[in-house]
Amino acid sequence: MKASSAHQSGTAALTTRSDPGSSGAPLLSVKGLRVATQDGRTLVDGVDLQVAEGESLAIVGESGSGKSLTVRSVIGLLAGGLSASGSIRYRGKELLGAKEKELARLRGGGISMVFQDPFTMLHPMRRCADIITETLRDDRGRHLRREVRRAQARTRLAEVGIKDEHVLNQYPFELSGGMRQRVAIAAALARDPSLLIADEPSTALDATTQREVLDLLQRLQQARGMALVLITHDLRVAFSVCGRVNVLYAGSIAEVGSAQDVATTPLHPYTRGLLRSEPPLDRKVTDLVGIPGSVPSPDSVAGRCPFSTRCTWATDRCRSRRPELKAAGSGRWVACHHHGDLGSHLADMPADIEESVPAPSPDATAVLLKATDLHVTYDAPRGRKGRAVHALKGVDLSICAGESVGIVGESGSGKTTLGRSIVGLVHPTGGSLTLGGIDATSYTRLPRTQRAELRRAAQIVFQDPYSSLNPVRTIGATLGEALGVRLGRKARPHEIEALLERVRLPASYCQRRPAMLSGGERQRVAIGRAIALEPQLLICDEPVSALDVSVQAQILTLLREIRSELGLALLFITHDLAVVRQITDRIYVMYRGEVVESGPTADVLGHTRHAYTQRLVRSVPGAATTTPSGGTRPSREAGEQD
Amino acid sequence: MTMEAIPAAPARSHHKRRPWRPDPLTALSAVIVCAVLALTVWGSALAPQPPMRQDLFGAALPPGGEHLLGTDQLGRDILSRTLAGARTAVLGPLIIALVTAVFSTCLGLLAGYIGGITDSVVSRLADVVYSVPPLLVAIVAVGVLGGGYTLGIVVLSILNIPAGLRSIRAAVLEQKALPYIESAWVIGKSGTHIMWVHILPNIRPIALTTFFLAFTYAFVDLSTLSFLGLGVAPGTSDWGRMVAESRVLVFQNPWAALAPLLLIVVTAVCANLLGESLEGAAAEKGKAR
Amino acid sequence: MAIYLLKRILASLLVVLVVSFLIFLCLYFTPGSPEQAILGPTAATPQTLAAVRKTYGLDDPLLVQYWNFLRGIPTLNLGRSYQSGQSVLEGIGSGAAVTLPLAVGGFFVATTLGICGGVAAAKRRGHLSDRLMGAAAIVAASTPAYATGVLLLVVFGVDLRWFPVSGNGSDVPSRISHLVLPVITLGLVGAATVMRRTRITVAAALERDDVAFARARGLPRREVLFRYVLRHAAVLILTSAGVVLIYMVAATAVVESVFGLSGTGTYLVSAINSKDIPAVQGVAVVITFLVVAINLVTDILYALIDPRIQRGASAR
Repeated sequence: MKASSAHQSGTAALTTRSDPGSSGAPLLSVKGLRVATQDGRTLVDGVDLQVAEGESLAIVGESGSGKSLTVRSVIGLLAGGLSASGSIRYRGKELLGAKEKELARLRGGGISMVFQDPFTMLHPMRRCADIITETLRDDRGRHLRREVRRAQARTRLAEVGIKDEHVLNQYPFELSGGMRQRVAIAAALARDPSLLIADEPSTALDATTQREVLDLLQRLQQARGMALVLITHDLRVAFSVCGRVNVLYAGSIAEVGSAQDVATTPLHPYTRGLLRSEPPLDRKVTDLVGIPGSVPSPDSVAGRCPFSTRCTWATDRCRSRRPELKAAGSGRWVACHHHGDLGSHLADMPADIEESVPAPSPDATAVLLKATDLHVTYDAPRGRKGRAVHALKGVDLSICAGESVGIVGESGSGKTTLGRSIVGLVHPTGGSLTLGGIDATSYTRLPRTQRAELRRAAQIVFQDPYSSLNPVRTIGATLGEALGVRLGRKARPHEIEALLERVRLPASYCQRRPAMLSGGERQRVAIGRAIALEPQLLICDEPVSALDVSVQAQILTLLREIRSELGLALLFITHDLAVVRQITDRIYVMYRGEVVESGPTADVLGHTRHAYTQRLVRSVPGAATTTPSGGTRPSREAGEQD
Repeated sequence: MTMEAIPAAPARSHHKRRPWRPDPLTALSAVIVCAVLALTVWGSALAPQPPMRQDLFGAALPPGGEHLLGTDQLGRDILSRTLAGARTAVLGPLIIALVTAVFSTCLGLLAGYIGGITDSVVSRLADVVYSVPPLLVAIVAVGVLGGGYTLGIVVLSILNIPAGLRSIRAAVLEQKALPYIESAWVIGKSGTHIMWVHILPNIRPIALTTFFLAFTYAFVDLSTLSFLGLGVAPGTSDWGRMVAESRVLVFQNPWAALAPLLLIVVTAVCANLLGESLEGAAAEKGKAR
Repeated sequence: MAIYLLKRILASLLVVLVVSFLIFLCLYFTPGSPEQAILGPTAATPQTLAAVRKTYGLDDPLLVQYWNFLRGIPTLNLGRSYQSGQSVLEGIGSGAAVTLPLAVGGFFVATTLGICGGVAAAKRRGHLSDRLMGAAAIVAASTPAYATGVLLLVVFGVDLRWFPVSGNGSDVPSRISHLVLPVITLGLVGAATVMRRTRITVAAALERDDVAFARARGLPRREVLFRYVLRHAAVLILTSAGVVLIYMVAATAVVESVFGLSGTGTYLVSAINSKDIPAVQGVAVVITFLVVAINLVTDILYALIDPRIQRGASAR
């Protein structure tokens, strides 16, 4: 209790704790945790952490950092074929190697957990009330009576902010994502655990809902005096919810410290890199900073500093010995050989990215794309009940040659449908679309020559780099195919290599298949394929949202460079306001199939007029602290309706 | 910061294309299947005695002496008949499996990629045909129309297509929704090109599985037809037929029935294992993505 | 739900109608003259032949003959056998006394063995017991029913003499002992199919997010198994049970022939061999009806298991 009340007064309370590996009586203590596959690949390599009663701890890491595996080991739910070693103690009791029966007794009451995806986490064929109360038993281990269960379910739902009684009798598939996540949290808390683990609980949700769920978790943690371990890839989320932060990189811990300390003075070069990779929401910066390369597998960096392959300051010592996690001031721990001599380098962080860039003036005379009163209606799936879906309800949009335009919105806003209808993947059911002087409203009715012209007018890059490339074809074949379409003949090797160079990939990648490339590299190839046709307009549909934060900046920078080299116009579709700020001159904000606000990016984001845009801006994690014009912290009652 | 600093990432170890190294069981199955295939071509030539030569004085002999596996009730050498019997037992299923794999792949591709009316017609038809048990239809059709082995092959070919078609179509639909297919369309590639160059190589494992599955089913069903006296002509050396004709000899020479029977079981099991491990390999590959 | 049911029933009736017409068409164009089959191998004058054709309505146009056949169905009149003159329904009925217990027994063995084995294998995936069961299932599934039957016959009938080798048996106990080996034969092949399907679906269900979430909240193992895992696997297990049941319809004919049982399957095979068109037609229509009914029942069970199908939501 003491820790939790201390927490409420500020995040610094826990920084006095001395050791992440040992202490008097921590609630949970993990030492030297290693997770490996059956064939001997290491996935988590020596993680130490501890959680005190009532404390909130964030475990932050990118994909492949082992953050999810760490907490899955704690609750004893590793996937088949994975094994954990080391030590995990809950209230002093060893959990690794404990009998399944004992673990089962601990789960729910001692430690409970919510997962990332509210769409798959709840039993689709059970009513919400049953899901919430199914783990409850009376003193003698029997199921509760029906009325008692209903009453319980009602109070639990009220606790997570659902006052609508109907939800009790509804099935999960009848609820929105945010509602489902609330029901899941209520179910996880049914037996009043001392420790709740939340694995990316808000990542699958829309920005506004995300904020609500995070606020709910924080409120519950404080009200119940419960310990919370939050797994996230987003440092801003970690800082806004938790008191203490644990940064994981490639299966081991890089840095531990209070949220405030880590946010202001990172000690590990990786943490610094991560912080700098987050583009700011309130200004446009000249240089977007990422971390070169991508996250390695723990085995490939065994016996050395895992970050040494990407670190600016790496020395021979970093490449030959693994640094240990050492104390670095009050409540701070860092695993870096050069801790101490890097202090001044790490601290200069914000200085080099302060400057903002004036928007280049587009050639306003040449309208490249014009959409007027565009409608798209999807029929209800055949054989199923339900109405037709109106994805676009009269959208007006224009893009001039060479201009960079953003479309911002959440899922269901129609932003993706809009992008797809421009390249003919979706057929508009109303309105008109003119692209490069050709009526592109219905692609299928156009003669072959005009269609070919449209291909040269607009190309698209998709979100998921993993399925954007044909897995059985080499990179060279993929790019050569696209070049061949423009040239009308087979592309020559040097032309393919030139294209690879344009997206900053070495010529040797010609022979590789997509499986050998990282996500960022694949996205470069996808961009290369799109610009092979030398289009006047490049549509990017969430091109960086499937990538790690440290890689995002590389792709954004590439897009900026290509735009200035080729002078093409950019239509950038995203849910991420900070990203759109960096890459566009003008934005359209979409909500439920309509454009609710549009104008120069800085204007729209700086002085929001529409209520929805205001909500969107407020829901950015940490927005209140980084955006001077962003107004107050979001009110918790911001919206019960999803 | 610009991008020159990025070194070419080394190929990640777990993404490396390992040469396909089958486990011992799969290798053994492959060897046995190949051996049986060889028998269909050279089985009669390998036979120590003419498989059709009758010797009524040496009927129903137990194994030994001149006849390694004994003789049947007409004095025909069991070993020779078993070796020669591979042809009808395996060739028919092979044809059925080929026809099934080719047709279900083509139809599945068309139905899945083109969609619309083509898909509705093909899928509805497949649904109806899928719900009838092939063996039963084959028994009735061959029995009543009297086409024997050839009609058996035709009927089983047609009836095996829907199962393969459905799985191919599902795989095509899955691929079709992926961005790489949409990208190929957006850069201006034709539907035929996309189907053959992009989708087909990615569903090849499923087509292969379809082939092996169809082979196993056809093998079992066709030999059952022969067993019931509806397949090959009487007197032909054929495994199913031999089991039927020799089961009365269980007391005198059990090998007369057991030899072809064991070959049937071993061939079917091996083909099944081979198909299964290919499917497993395809699933692994899918995961490695 | 009611509309869904009505739609499905109407569609099923349509399928029965279409398939029965196809059967009728197929048999109508069968080579060989039916009047000869009716009279047997005796030499017949043109007059007797004409008389027979008239009695059996063989001179009527195709559609009239089909209509006459259809008219009989509601009153369960499937025509008379050419061979014995006996009503086809009676022929099927007397065979059913053997075939029904055989099929039901085989189905029971197949589903019990298959589901229990599949769940056990899925829970111990990768262990030795799982691999052994998997190997046994592959062997059982790849072996033709007649081969399994002959093997069991040789071992338990001839060598060990535990069970009779052939025939129906006279009184109830002997009837049962005559059915043991055929039921096992039928059951083994079906069990292999059900088990492999169950193993895959249960293993997939065990990996689901909602199962992990239920375990993370401390729901006891048994409840996780029954309320979550099996409920998720139910639809696919049900499908394979339906497939196996349809397969049984065909396999009984084979098994009956191996064990010399005189059931409906034997009736069909002998009718085929003697070109007894009405008998073949009758059995075929009954089987079509059964197959369609099995498919209908599985579809209805899906809707009962999964509320999403009733409420028309996308299955996620």
